[in-house]
Amino acid sequence: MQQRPTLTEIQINRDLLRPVLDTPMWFYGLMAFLSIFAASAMGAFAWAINHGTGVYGLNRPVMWGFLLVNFVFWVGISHAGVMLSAILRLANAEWRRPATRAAEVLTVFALGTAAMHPLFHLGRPWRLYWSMPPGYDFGRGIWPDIRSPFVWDPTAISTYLTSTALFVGLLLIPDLAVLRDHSSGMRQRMYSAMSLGWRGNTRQWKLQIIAGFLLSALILPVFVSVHSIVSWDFAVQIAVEGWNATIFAPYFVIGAVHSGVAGVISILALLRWMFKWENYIRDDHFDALARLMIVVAVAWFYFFIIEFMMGFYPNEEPELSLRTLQLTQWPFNAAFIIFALTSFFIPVPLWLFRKVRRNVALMFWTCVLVNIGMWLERFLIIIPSLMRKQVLTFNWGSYNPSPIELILVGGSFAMVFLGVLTFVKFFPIIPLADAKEGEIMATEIRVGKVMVPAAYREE
Amino acid sequence: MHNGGPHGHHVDLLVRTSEQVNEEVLSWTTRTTSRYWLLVLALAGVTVLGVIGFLLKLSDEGLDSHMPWGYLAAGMAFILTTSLSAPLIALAPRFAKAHWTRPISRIAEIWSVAGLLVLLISIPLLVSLPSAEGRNTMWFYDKVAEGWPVGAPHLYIALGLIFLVINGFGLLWASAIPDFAAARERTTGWRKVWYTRLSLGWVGTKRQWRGLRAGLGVLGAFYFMMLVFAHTYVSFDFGQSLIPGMRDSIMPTWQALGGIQSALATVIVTAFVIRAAGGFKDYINVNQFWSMAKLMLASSLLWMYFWWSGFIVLWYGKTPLQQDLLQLMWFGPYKTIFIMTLLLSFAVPLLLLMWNGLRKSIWGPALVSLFILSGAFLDKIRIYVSSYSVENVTAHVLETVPEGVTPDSSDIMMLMGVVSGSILLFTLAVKFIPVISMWEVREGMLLQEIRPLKRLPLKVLAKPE
Amino acid sequence: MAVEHVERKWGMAVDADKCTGCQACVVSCQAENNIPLNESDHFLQRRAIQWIRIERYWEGEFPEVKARFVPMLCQHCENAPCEPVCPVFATYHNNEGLNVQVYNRCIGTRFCANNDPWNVRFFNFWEPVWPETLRNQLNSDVTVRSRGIMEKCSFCVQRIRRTIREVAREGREVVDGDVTPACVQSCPTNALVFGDLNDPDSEVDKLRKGGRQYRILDHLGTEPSVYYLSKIDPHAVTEEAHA
Repeated sequence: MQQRPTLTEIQINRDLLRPVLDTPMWFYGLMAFLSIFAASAMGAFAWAINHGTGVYGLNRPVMWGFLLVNFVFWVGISHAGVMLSAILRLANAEWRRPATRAAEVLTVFALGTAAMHPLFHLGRPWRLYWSMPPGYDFGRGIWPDIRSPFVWDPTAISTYLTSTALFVGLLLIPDLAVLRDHSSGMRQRMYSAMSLGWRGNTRQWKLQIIAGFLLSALILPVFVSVHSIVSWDFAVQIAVEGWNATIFAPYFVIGAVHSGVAGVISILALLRWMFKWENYIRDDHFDALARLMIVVAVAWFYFFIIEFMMGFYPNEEPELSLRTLQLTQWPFNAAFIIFALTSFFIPVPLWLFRKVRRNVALMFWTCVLVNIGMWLERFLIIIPSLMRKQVLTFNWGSYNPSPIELILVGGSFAMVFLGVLTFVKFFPIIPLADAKEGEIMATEIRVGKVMVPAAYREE
Repeated sequence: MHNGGPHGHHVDLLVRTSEQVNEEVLSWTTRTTSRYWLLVLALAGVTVLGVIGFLLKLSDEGLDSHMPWGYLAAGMAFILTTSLSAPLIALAPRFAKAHWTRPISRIAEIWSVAGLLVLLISIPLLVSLPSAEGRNTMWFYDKVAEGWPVGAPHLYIALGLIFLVINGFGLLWASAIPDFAAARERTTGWRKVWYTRLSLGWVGTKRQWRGLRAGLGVLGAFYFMMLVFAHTYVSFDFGQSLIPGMRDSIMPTWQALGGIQSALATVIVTAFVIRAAGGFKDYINVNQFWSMAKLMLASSLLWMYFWWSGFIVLWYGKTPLQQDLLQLMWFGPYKTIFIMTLLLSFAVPLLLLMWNGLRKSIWGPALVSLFILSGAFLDKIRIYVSSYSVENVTAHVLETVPEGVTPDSSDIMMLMGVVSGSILLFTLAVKFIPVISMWEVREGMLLQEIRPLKRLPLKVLAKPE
Repeated sequence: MAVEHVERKWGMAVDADKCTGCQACVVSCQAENNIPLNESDHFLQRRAIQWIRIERYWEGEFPEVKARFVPMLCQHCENAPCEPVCPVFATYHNNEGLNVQVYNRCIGTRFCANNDPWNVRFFNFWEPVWPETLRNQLNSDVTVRSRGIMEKCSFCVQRIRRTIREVAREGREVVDGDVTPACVQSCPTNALVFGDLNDPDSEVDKLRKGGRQYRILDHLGTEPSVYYLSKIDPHAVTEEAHA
């Protein structure tokens, strides 16, 4: 970490609370703009409910299409929250400070958006509750079938969503108290109620820290299980040869971390630009996050190579035809090349250079590329495999996404950004307490003739 | 010397002068007691026993078929996953610029000397390994073009292992250069001659340091990749590829993860022994064990997660092939071994390491490491003895689940010899290569300090770019 | 001699040697089971619903090309992969060996259709529309499905139920030949044979042990109840068939 300006508490409060207390006009404009897309997504959903799932491009055999791809994608993005927040908190890494709440908030809204997708893609969405725990059907006296991965899914996702929301809410309390003390009128009453009587004394802080550690440790197994369970939606199926691989669970999880952390980096870059937070989201943070991304990307790439190679390993149909389809036929061949380039071969070599890691614009764009690549990865896993399920070639099919699906997919991005922006409007997206603690913990050590930046370390 | 705070708060930083560090470490390196030679003798004896076991089996069975050699393959895989994986504990934290590994990084790196044993054992294993003709291998022999890639799998296993071992030696040597230089000034006789040769004219200029760090970075990254690759092809070529029809994509990654878990266990046990036998109690303290124990707990949980991921997919499908595989691997003739592995590699580490007091101690992680090493040992036996017991490797799918293979006396002797051989190599190495990385420890003393923060003495860690 | 009441296991034998690909079975199934009308659009969208369909494979190269017909219907597997994946128990295995689809329980996840190796499950993407004039043709024994629901061959379970009731009223047991699904009834060559696989006197049981039998995608271990009898063709081309 390099030399940085020292910030006072007042300055920190003022800078980080500016979006909440003094929202600029363009912010509302941006929200309105995003709302248009989000609303059109809702409109598309209403259209689909009204006319039936026929409005999607689905058919036999491709019974799951863009909506499932999007579902898996958003569940993937949601994994950044825990990765950065819980793991870095437990490892006591200094550079987590600006990123934790942004990551958790991204998780909440990404997961919430993902959770809407079963509603979109179901034939009878008004009966969705029959599959979600507890889901007891009073009319027929039946419980859901726990053998089905589609019952494990809502269990895992709702657990993850609840725990992350709890995590965000709990760690928000001290900042809500600061807001309470900085606002007036209706807002002050709202923040006062939400801050639950926070006074900032020793006992409360001690409980707060313990709660943070405890929740971090407890949420880690949930985080690993969520995307594993989503992967088992596919991997347990013997009818789709392209999916029936044991590696799916960790492959999906590491892919989720890959796309999720890239998503957080993009959000941090946007926040830094929007609110001029160069002092809080510093170059060193991007540097450290980029180095984390290198490790994650390399690990992901290893899993991808194994998964891809194992497609060829048994040397049997229909997987050979499936891989041929993925590699040589339009549009999958283009998608494959773009995917390989954007998710690994362009970003990772770039991140090896310190200059790139410390360049916020480059980090933003490389991470956008990563997410494009990861969306395509899910597309390449789900749809070609359904087109080549078994050796019975009479049943090999194809798929074309419909405009309704495209609107829903595009609108989902708007919904997530809108959610994050709404949060930014009402709550500080960078934890005030963390920023202030970072200031206190930062110090220097004299080594020879040089002053090296250092940090205090709690046991 | 420890620094205690006003409230008895135990904050542990090594407090020595540079010269004291050099002197303490080098005197341990150069001094050999009778206890040491007794240990060497005992280990050499067991190793010779292993060689005898090997020769007995060789004369009985020969190297025509791979089937009698399952236990030897398990032994080799065990050394790969413990000794050869140990250097990871030096590499990864160095990449993350962590300070806690400084006292134990050399211990981790010295374990790569066991690579000599791996290369030796791999010779009969490769000779007896059937060709890739007619069966599926990760090298796709005969699939892309006839006869291509040439020499699969034997050539590539050999090349991979050779490069891995050379890389490990290179890493060890590179990281020891500054220490060799320090040693050449403070020793005489044959030691001085060799330390001078191996220190390559090191004086410690800025350029040399930059070059060393860059070299360590590159060698470290390569070692990591070669090691993961080694776990991949060893688990494939001696395991999965010998079972017709088996398609378990998580297996190589699970083995690589097991390598991380076993690496931690190896280093913990070794650090415990060296600490007990060497008086390095100030250098290696509870911090090292605590940090490694946390990682070991995480890797044990991940071990279970990876196993479960494989199980759920194979079990849910219920195809005949998958059911046979489940029988062969976990629930058939090797069920007892598998249950013991589950306990030793997952349940016991979890149930013990979850206790704060045990995790943040010295004996606790060491005890758990013994369990983990035993679990890894049994696991390798389960994997490789079962895969070696399949007779018809060129069938389309597994036809019958073969009976379990109990070890005969040669197998037991070989296994004992393999384990003692690697320990022997380590024991011999530490009397030449300083077992504590003197330059890293001295650097750590410069970059760490105890300073009070509002009356509480806390550690301050520098993070130079 | 007392007739032992063994649990029934309904199954079918499909003789590929006798099948001419005439599609009478397809039509009669559509009529019997209130299957939605398939317009050309539906075929182009790959959404046509045909609980039994004739799959046509080409074998050989021109001019030695032959067409092979495989009537494909739900295999009613004993270890059906489509059953455990349904989150709401809309499909389960009943005690007579049928893979049952419960229409009013289905919420339309389409998980079962994905885990169905033979692609014999059909989804109502659109609301089925019955022209006024055709409504009298609907079979009152069979539910008319709405959109968002999965459907598939039920071995004409309504006929099974009706026959068992009627036979019980007659005071006797069900014997082979009592129950005929619509497709079996209409096949002009008797290529389709239906019966109780647990009844050693039934024709279907004899056929499935006759020597020509095989099951499609047998290696998946799902234990289909539909046995195919291989074609007897002295001029068969032995290379792989393609669609």
